[in-house]
Amino acid sequence: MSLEASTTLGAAVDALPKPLPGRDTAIQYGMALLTVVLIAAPLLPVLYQSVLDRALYDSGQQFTLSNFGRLLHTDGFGLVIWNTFVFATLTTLISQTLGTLAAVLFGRTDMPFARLFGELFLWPIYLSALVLSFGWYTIYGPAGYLTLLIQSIFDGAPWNLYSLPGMAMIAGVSQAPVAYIYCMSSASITDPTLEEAARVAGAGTLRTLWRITLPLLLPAVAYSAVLNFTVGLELLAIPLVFGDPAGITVLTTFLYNNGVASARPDHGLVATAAVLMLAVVCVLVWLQGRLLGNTRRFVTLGGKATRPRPFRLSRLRWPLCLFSAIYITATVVMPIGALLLRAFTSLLSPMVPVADVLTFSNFASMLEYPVYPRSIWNSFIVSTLGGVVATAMVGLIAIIILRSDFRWRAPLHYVALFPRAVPGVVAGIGFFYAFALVPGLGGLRNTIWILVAAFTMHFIPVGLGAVAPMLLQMSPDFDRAARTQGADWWTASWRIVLPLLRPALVACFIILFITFFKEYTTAIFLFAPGSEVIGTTLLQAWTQGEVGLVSALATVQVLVIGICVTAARAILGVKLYG
Amino acid sequence: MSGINRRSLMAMSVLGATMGLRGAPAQATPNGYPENYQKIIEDAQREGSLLIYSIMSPENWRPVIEGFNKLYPKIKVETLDLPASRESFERYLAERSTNSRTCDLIATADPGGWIDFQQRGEILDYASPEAEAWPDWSKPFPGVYTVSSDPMALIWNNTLVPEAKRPKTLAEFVELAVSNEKAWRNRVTSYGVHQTTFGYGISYAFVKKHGEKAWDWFAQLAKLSPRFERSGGPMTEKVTSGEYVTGWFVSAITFWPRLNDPARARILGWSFIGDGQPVVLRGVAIPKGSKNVNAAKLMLDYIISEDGQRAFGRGGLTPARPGVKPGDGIRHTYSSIVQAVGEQNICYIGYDRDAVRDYDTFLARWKKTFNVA
Repeated sequence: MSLEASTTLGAAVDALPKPLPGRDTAIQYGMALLTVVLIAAPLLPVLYQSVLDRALYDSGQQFTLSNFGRLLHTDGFGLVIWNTFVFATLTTLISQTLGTLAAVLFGRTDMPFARLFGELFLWPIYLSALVLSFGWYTIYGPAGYLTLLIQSIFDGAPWNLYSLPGMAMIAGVSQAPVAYIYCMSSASITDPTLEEAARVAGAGTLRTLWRITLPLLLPAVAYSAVLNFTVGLELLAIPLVFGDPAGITVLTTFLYNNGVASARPDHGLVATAAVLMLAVVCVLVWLQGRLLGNTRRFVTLGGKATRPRPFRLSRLRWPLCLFSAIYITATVVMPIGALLLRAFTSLLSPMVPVADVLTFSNFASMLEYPVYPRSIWNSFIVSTLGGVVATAMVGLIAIIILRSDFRWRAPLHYVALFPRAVPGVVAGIGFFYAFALVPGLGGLRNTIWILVAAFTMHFIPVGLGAVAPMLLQMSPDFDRAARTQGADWWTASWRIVLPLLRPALVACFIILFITFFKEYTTAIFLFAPGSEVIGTTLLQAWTQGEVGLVSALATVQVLVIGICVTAARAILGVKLYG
Repeated sequence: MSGINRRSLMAMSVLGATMGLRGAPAQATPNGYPENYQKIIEDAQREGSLLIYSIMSPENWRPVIEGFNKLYPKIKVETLDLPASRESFERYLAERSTNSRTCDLIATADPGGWIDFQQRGEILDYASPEAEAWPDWSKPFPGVYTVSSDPMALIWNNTLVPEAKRPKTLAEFVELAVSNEKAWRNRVTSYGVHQTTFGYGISYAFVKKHGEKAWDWFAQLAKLSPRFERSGGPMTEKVTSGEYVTGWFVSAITFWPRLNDPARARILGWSFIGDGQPVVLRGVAIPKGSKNVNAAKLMLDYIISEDGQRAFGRGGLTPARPGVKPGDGIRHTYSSIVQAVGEQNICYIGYDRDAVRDYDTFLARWKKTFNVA
């Protein structure tokens, strides 16, 4: 180090605030405690309720284990478990197949428009499954546009959304981007050395693909399969919209129906089913950790030194391009397009010319009732403020876990990632109980702050996924330099690490904003008058059969998310994968 | 955190235009009300707000709140519309146990819920000055009154059911369905007893009236694998779009307002059920945990007054107060339903303790009949 440099550094260090004894410890313990409380808050009441003989807010409860027995003996519960399993499995199969194919086709071949398709392929993950299922309903439902068209030509439609395969198709399409992202970001897809070797040895395109590329993708596929299976287990929207009328119940709709919509809400049963769900997902997440070890906990989409050579499709280029275009049109563009069109029409049917039914009345009636503008506004507040709060929290947790000598950082890391194993419905029920149990919290129950708390807790792992990779890539020399000059951990973090982390924190905020904006399962048990968000209002309007209003409100959501995603990707180059 | 309640603002600004918001005249006691009512009004205005948990939609409430605010402009009314009829009680009980802010008035159609609520001793025994105008069936427990008497009807898609075949009774409905067994599979709809208390109440009352014959009808309908919905909205939508052909026991108040659209009125047909017309009674009462008791009393009195009944009628419900006639945007009232089907053919979904007792056995049989889990 030159003399000048050391003087400037010395001056800089002189300018640093003097460390306060014990400050680091206080911040670290405080943050750790806050995290543990936030994550335990919904889980403990659920566990507690599952061993009580009556609602936990009643008087005279007795401890009992009979709920578990009752649940297993509940009529048709076996079928519920079976349906859930079949639905999640089919969803996973479909999403993994589509995602892997897309990753190879859009990421590794010389197909025309591959990048554009890749972008469009991601869209379902930006929108909620709820909005997507409304879109599918408008096109492929029994009275959907395309269904009626096909029926007028042939006798009957070849598909049925009111079935496990039909529902799994929608869920699979909406989850395929997850598989796609993991494949695209796996090291093997960007590391062509082995493929080159195969080519040199005389293997053709297909053979190389089959023997080298796909096997190398297996870890990524397996990893995201566990993720998608988990999502399949905790999906509520699709089974509620399509499964319920057809009498197909899965675990989430079972919770929903017995929790709020039943003749005798059986809290013991609900909590016990929630505990069961929690246990299954915990096992799955643990399995996921075991599958790939901890090295792949966070996905990074870094650049690589060599650019892989794309596979030459030669004569198949255009046919495959056409096929991709049809797929993207059928699964993403048409459903969303139809939803937007439905928002501007009084009804949508191939028998009626669209010009005859064009109207703004859906939007007019949307503005007429306070609940709709209010839920849009609330969604903005929850997403913005919640996003800020959650990002701050995630930033602090990340530096404690990854950049401090905090004694309990390993357990804290585990705790912070635990919400991945907590389905949204369970988190919602848990917060509902927690706020009912803890005196003094009651006042927050009918406000959006309970939503902010629940969403924050639920999505800490998502936020960490956005921040951790950058933190892991950042050399620790920076903070070490500050520490050797006498700065304490907090000063080093506040003055050096966090400012350097800014891009990751911004990305984290945007991801959380979008996630909060579309979230509804966690909110279902928690919203109250004045604290509705778009997702809950959508679901309510749907149950009242207000298809036009649903489409109008969904249009608002799609537009906001669309603007956010486009802006984030264009201006900041943020990778919106979590 | 609801910020400003635009609805009351709207109502207030309309009022402001007519009478000036500030210096609104002191509220006069309505005619025929007791002397001490003036004090309730004054206390209510001091409370200044009212939170209602209900199963009704904002559309249903709007004329009522407007009318109420004409009388009492200083009271800000908020409603929370909960999709499941039991939820109002659940939410109240959970909040009550923690002494947090809860609702001041509950209005929902859930007989079992009301019975349970009464047993818990949560109902404020309020004697309304309007009570004398109401028959006994509408006042099941001290403090519980009736908002509306909503009929459950038959609906069909006019393009799919020829005019000559359209049913007037459940017997005809079943006959028609069975004769189209193949074509209408999965295309007949109703409430699922296994899904909502609302659906349970209707089917239970109907079975109580017809006994085994009703079960026999259900068994016939089960051959078509009906699709069950949780509310009348989707049934109406799906029958209109042709996804379903027809439905039985469909809440008339969900489709009556939609028939104001002529395009829809051409497609959607409906009828009362001549051999057993289920009528759902919506109860309203003040819970003991109410923080704005006086405002709640004013609202309850208004709801069961002639004026409030007409307002709910304009909002799409079926006024239950005897003597209220259709017209002025009100399609039907209790009186006009009685005229249509005859008093003897009405089955009230009231407050039948047997319905609570028989729930499990009935549900088991229902599930078996329709082969649902």
